[in-house]
Amino acid sequence: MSDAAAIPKSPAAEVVTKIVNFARVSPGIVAGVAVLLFLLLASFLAPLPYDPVTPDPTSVLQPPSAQHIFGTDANGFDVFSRVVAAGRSDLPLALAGTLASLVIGLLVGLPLSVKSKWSEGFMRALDAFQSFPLIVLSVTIVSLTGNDIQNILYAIVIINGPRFIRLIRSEALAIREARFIEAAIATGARPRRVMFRHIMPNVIDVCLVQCSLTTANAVIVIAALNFLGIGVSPPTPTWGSMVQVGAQAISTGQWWIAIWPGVAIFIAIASLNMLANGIQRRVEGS
Amino acid sequence: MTTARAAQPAVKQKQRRPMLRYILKRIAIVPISVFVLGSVSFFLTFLIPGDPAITILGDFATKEQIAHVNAQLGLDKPVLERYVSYWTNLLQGDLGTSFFTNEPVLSDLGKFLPNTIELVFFSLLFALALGMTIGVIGAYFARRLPDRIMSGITSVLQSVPDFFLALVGIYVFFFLLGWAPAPIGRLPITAGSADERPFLIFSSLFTGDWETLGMAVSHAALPVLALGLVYASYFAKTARGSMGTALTTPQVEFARACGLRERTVVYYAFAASRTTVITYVAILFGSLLGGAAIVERVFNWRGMGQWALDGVLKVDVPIIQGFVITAGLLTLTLFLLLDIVVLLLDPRVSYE
Amino acid sequence: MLRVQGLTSQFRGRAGVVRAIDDVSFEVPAGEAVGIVGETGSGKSVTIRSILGLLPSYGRVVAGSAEFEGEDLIKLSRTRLREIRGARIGFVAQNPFGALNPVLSIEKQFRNVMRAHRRMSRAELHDLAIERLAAVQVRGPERVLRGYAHELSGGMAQRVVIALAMLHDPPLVIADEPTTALDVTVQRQILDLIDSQVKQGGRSLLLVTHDLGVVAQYCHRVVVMKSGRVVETGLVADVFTNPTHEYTKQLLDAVPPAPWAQEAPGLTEQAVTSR
Repeated sequence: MSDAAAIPKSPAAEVVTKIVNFARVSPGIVAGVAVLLFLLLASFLAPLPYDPVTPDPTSVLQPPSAQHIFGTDANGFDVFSRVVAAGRSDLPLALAGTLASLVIGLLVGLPLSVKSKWSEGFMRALDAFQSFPLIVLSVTIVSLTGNDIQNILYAIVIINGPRFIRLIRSEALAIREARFIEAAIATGARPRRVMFRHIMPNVIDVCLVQCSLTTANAVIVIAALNFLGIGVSPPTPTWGSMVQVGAQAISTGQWWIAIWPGVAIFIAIASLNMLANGIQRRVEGS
Repeated sequence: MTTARAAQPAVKQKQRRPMLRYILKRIAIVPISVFVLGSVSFFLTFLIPGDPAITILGDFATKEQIAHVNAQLGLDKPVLERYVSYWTNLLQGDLGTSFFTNEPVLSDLGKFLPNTIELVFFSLLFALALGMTIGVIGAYFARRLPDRIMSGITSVLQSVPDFFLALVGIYVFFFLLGWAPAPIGRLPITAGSADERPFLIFSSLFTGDWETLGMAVSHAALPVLALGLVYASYFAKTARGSMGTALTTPQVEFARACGLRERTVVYYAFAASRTTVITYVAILFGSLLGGAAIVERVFNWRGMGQWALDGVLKVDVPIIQGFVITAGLLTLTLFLLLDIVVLLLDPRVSYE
Repeated sequence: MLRVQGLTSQFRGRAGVVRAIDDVSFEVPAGEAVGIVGETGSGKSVTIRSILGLLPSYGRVVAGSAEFEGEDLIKLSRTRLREIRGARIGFVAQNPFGALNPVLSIEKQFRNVMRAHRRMSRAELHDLAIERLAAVQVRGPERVLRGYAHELSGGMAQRVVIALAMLHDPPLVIADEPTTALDVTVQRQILDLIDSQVKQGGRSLLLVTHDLGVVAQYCHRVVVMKSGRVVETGLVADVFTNPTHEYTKQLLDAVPPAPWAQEAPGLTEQAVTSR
């Protein structure tokens, strides 16, 4: 990029150059973020050919065609419109669940990094908790506490919170051993200050990787729960519930109803995994 | 005999058999875990909002139905009394009866648990074989073309929800190609119900009932494939990581420098990473007991997960409790076995 | 014995190709001990790994040769190279606890190394292993054979590694910083042991170290490396008394005057024989 320095550039062009350079080093991150942003923006802003929540009883179970590019389902919904619109509920919910898990991980994991009998005991309890089939436990709790979409958040946190706690604790334990923490304590920083000012910023790196993995997991959990009819309020489209509707028709050959939302789930998860790998590489590389 | 004298040989005995002592210690924790488990499952019912009977039966329940459920739940009695009678029943092996089918939970478990165990067993076997192959190839050719291909396969498998893969499998292998039977359970309708034959595949294998075995295997193929492919990605990732590390250790280098054959060298690396993989088998087995639920449902497999899921969706409290306890007990046993196996395989693990 | 010429190796990393060693040439004459010295990252390890074909899968020798007993090790097939490693070239690793397999008994490891090149009955091998362990002054060889690596002290474990490396009586021994991982108190014992084992068998030794004192004491010739290149090579006596390269001078100045430096064998030939 020797010529880039020679010619003075507009700020916009500079940003583009920066992104291009970044993409060259970490293609995974850029591709992952781009696909996710595309899915998210499309779900809110894209002009949909049909209303995703109004069925057309005159065209039921239509295979993909020029009118309905992804076909229609048994109720006469346009599959394409619903696949795109489902991103509105699925993706923000997954992100919110991840954020909640991260916050819990930080709030519980950081204090636990102070070695004590109590924290050891807590980790043992966490072991026991995590060895349980958590998806079923979360289904149990969600359905017992009421079939609400917000309850899916709890499910995500139940499954992923412990992972964050574990990760943040072990990272913080390692960082505590580092010299600069010793220096901070030696200069008289209070424990709370050490924790939030010195340890937390250094844990965030690893958390970013875990966040994208968790979001991917959350997309699966949401889809799985929705597939079971939990947290679904018809006719609002979600990928999981659409796959469920399609599941009934797949044995008779109407593949398009289940496949397209499934592909959407796949793309979302794949891009999140790509993002996680990309960040992982950067963290390891530096 | 003085106490000091009596104590001395005992101490020596302990020192001589640290392994046995560790295992006994490990087993001693089990009752505590069981107590926690039972209590958790008891208090789950407190999560039900509002009037449990109405939540369970819906708004149109009759008075008698509500009274029946209340009596079953024992809501008319104080908490402590309910707790004690719950434990008394539990210790006698009485897990209650379903609100909706009136079937004893224990007999339901006897029907559905073997189905799930068979499904999980074969899925994990397949996942282990495939995942280890992918991971070991990737680790052996680290950062070269085969590694990239294998990690590509891994990320694809990792990104597919198992129930979706199951549906794709049904479409392709049942509808398009006609190779697989319809997803209607463990046996074709004409062969009758599989409920009365626990461990269908194992038992027909051992009794030499080849006809049943053939049908059972062909019905098991798609669900095993769907679960196995998805879970293979976990093994592939673990194996790639631990074998990748093991293959760059000085230990493997020294083995090579001594002129050992590549086969032996790879075995060395595998021996170093096998405990990680075995731990993973146990973890996945535990999570698949419930995690297979959705795939079981897609194939009407009539397994424990599907049964529990139906129970959960209908708020059938005894079924939920029965499932929580069974899955918990299985997981506990599994982890106990895991610890012992790891102990036997790795002389380094300290017994304390 | 071993003649390395123009050896150049590269690693493929995320940031592109990195040349780890460049045009490395030196010679190990029969019956002599040669030391490779240099700071961390100077390419010492990469050099011996290139010779032995032990580079990680993303590393590659791109040029040069390493002639050993009339064959170019670089061009040899994997199978042939495997036959030479262990049998004709012994390798003493840096960290014995890293090198020994933690989950196999020591006897099993002797068996594996033996089987890699020669068939022998279990009983015969058992006797041989005991004999070899006794030769490297391992206390209680019977018990050690039955046990595992983690039960040994660092010094004992390194003796086991040496016994394994010498099991097939290789004419050339390559030792990669054989004492860095050990306690200071046993470092000299181990070096003396390697030295005597090499001398007894009339073998050649290629010793990698960052300790000039060690080179002065145990080696006839020295190869000084820096940033993947050989900056100076020659007889220990010449190089140490009359360094021509600026880096060698710096290295020599950095070494505190060790008490044994005066009796270094490379400097005064009698010291070698009197040891």
